[in-house]
Amino acid sequence: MPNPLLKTENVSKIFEVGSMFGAKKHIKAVENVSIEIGENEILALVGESGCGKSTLGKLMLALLRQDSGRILYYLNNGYKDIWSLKGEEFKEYRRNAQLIPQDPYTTINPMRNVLSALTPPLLHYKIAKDRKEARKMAAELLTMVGLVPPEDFFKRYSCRLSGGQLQRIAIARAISVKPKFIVADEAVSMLDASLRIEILDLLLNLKKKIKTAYLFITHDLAIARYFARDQRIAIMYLGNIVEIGKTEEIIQNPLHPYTKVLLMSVPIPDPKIARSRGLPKLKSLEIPSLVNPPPGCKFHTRCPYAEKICEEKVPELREVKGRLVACHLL
Amino acid sequence: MSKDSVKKKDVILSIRGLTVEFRVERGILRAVDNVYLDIYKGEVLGLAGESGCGKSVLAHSILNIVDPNGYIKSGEILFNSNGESIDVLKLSKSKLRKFRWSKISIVFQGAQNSFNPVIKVRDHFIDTVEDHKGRVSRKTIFKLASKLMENVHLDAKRVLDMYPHEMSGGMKQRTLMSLSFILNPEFIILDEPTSALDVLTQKYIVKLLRDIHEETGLTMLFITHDLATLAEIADRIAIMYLGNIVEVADVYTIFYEPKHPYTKALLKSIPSIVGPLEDLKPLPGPMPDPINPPPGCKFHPRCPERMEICKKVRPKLIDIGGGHLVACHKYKPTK
Repeated sequence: MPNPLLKTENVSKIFEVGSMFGAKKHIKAVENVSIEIGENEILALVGESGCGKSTLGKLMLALLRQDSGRILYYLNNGYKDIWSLKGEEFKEYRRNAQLIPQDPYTTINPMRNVLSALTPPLLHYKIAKDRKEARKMAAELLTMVGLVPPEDFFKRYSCRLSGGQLQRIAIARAISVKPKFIVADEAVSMLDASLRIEILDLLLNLKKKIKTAYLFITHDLAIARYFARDQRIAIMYLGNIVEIGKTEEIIQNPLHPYTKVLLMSVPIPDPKIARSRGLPKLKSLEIPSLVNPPPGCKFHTRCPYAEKICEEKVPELREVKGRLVACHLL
Repeated sequence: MSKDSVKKKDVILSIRGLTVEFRVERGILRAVDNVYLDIYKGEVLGLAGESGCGKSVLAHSILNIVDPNGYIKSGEILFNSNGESIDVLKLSKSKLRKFRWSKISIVFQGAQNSFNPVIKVRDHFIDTVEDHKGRVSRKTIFKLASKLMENVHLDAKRVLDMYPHEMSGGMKQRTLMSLSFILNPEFIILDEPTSALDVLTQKYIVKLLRDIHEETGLTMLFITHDLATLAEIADRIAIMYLGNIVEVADVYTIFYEPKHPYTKALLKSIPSIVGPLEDLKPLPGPMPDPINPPPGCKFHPRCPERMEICKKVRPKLIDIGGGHLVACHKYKPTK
């Protein structure tokens, strides 16, 4: 990809867990991940809870610091390590790399009402020239995400808002500064099915005007397919990217055994198809511990095709049929 | 299951005119609004709707366990078993305790809260059985528990000796299911039994429920906001909107020939990994305030097919043929 907006090089993140008195344990939440996000492109990051996708998103926004590897941002015709950015450069990066957080209940400072949660970034980045204009823009943003009439919401505090409403406010705030890159972490998970498409369509329409790139994090393959159509999808398992490539190609013809099993398990809203599908073969239903991950390929304990080499050697992401897959058997 | 056979089956549970309300700071919230619903013996009935539609409240009402803030304003819940018809809402506290778990079992959303954290899994089984059947030999209890746990792919020897916190979410849910079946209930209510689980475990649990249902003929009420899951397991599906049942039909009819405009719109708004993406459409307009629902048909402000009468008159749930029920002015009942 020529001049991607943001790229990670062999990034890993380890968390320490354990009490003060016991031995400390380590969880490798993200292991050796190298991905690129192009300007105005969508990369859906799909995986189940605990696979490290949220952590990877936060690393790319410098909300967490990686333990190894680099994260580079394209700025002024060159790549800069995000942790080396200072002053105006850092301000530009911060404005252009926004987060829609997973937990909507932590979206707004509980001491502030909705209006005072939306106006500061508009004023700070001089998108609005004064309070009056900021208020007008805040009203437009709330209307865009379907919180109408906006004036009804201005004075409310987060304790008076539902998860779905808070999620929409988080979206409004992220798009308000017209960023080049948004990490959307389960951005529509709290919304009812009928509202999800509306919000996703809103983001897609805005993207046409403002050209925002997305790292769209979700556990829901169907939502990922909808949002990242004609774009790319990455599948993550226990800290590793196992498959990455064009969305429709992966959905129609998955190569990695984990991707295959995932696709066989996603519920399909069609009784004839749903009732005729078999159960995917899995050696075990238990997800391995992150503290003591299995040696070699982490999926081998559950993989129906696992062979000896899978227990011994970690597979690398290699090019197979026009995409990248990490599997010894291909 | 053919449309005609639905009519001739026995009704195991009949909900008649049920209204449940909650007192909230802004007024009275009618979570369940004059609902009539018959559940047939041996079927899997899916109850679907978005958050706030009243499906969970309806389920809890069946066992008379509504939240302290809420109350059952009116209605009957008749349970038919062994030739007897019992109104659950009129049972005394002690009779209700016996009734729960032995006749009707419920698996709540989020299994984590259902366990006593200071006792092992084996003691949960002992307590449950002894509560209902008095002293039963431990050997018998564990034999039964092991068989049930085997059915849900749990290693009984390991799990019986665990404390709840030692189990993963998936294990807890499966253990809770085994616990729900230990007294051989005739009817089980499952409230979002798979929503907190990873996709692979969800698939296994749904398949297991199908197998159990095939083997035992247990009647199931499966509540979920995820219509796609019901495609695999439900025989019939009831759709709820703001406290009312708006459509009931067999699973194939609901997915392939829905009649109520809300059902149609809901189906069109669910993304899927199969099928063309262009067909998806968002549901128009915001969800109304449940404390002040629209007059007439509650769906009319968002309905693309609304007529004048819809703004004034609440449509009744009528049979349009073969047990297909719809609450919509566009349709007339069959003679």
